[in-house]
Amino acid sequence: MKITDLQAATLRAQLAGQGEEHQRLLSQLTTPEDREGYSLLLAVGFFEAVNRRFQAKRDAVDNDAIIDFVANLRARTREVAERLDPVVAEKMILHALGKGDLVGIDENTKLSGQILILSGLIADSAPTEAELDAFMSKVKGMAQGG
Amino acid sequence: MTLANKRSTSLEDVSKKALRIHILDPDEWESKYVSKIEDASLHPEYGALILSTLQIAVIDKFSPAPSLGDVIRYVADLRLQLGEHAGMLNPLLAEKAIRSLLGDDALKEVPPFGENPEDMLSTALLLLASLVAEAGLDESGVDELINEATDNAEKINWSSLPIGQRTGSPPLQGGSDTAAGAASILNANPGPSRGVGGSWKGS
Repeated sequence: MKITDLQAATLRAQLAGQGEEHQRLLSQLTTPEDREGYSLLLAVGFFEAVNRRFQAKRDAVDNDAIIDFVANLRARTREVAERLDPVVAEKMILHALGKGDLVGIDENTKLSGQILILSGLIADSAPTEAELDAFMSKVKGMAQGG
Repeated sequence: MTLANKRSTSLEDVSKKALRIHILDPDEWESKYVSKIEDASLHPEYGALILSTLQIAVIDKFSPAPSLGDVIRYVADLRLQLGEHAGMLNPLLAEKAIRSLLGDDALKEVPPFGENPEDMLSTALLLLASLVAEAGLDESGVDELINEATDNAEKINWSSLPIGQRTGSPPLQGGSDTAAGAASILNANPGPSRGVGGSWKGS
C-alpha cells in the first residue's frame, strides 16, 4: 500500500510529542484510504518498535520486562492508566513478538493501545530528530512492502 | 447474650482464625478452612473481614500520599514476584481494589468492578498476603492487624459490597492457582520495600 507523506508526517508528529501538529495533520486524513494507510503505518511502527525493545532471545520473551514497561507507561499519567488495560497491552506486545493471540480485543482498543504503547516506546528511546526520521523511513518502507 | 449474638460471635471467631491461618500458614488454611469458608453463612463475614484487614494494610502501605502511579507499580512488582504465576493476579482488579479501599474519588466503579465476587476476594487475599509479608509482621502483629480490622468491620456497612454473594463455584480453593498458593510464594519471597506517596496525587 502506498503511504503518503501526510500519513507519515501525522505519525511522526505523534511520536515527536507534537500534539497540536498531530491533531492538525490527523484532521486532514479524511478519506477511508487515508485512515487505512495511517492505521497500517501505525501497526508497522508498533511492530518495529516492540521488536527493537523486546527482541526475543533464543525464542524466549522477557515477560518481566514487558510487565515492567507497561506498568511504567501506565504510571506516567492517569489518562494512560485509565485508557490502557495492562493485560491487553501485554498481550499486544507479546503478539507483536509472535506469541499468543488477540482474541476478544476489539479494533478500537488495539488502535488505542498501539498509539499509547508506540508513543511510550519512542519516548523511552529518546531519539534525535535524525533517528526519528530514520525510524519513520524504515516503517514507511515496511508498510509499503519494502 | 442472645442466640443471634452468640452465632455472630462464633462466625467472627471462625473468620478471624481462618484469616489468621491464611496469612501465617496458607497450606494449613487449604486443608482446614476451605470447607468452612464454603459455608454460605460465614462467607460474607469472612469477605468483610478480608477487605477490612486489607484496607488497614493498604493505608499503612500507601499513606500519607497515595498515587495511582504507586498503586500501579506496586501491583506490577507483585506480579513480577509471582513469576510464572503472575497470571493468577488480575492487575486491573488489584489496582481498583486498592484504589477503592484508599478512597480514590476518581474511581467511579464499585466492587467487585464487574468481576466475579470470588475473584475480588482472591485478589484481596493475595494483596493482603503480599502486604503482610512486606511489612514483616510476626504472629502478634498479624493478630493485632486482624483485631483492628474486626473492630473496623463492625463499624462499616460492608454489605454494600457484593462480596458475600455465592456464584456457584467454591471460593478460594483448588490447586496452586489460588490465593493461598500465591501466599505461599509470597511468604517465601518477601515483597519489595517501596516508598509511599498524598492525598491522591495525579498519577
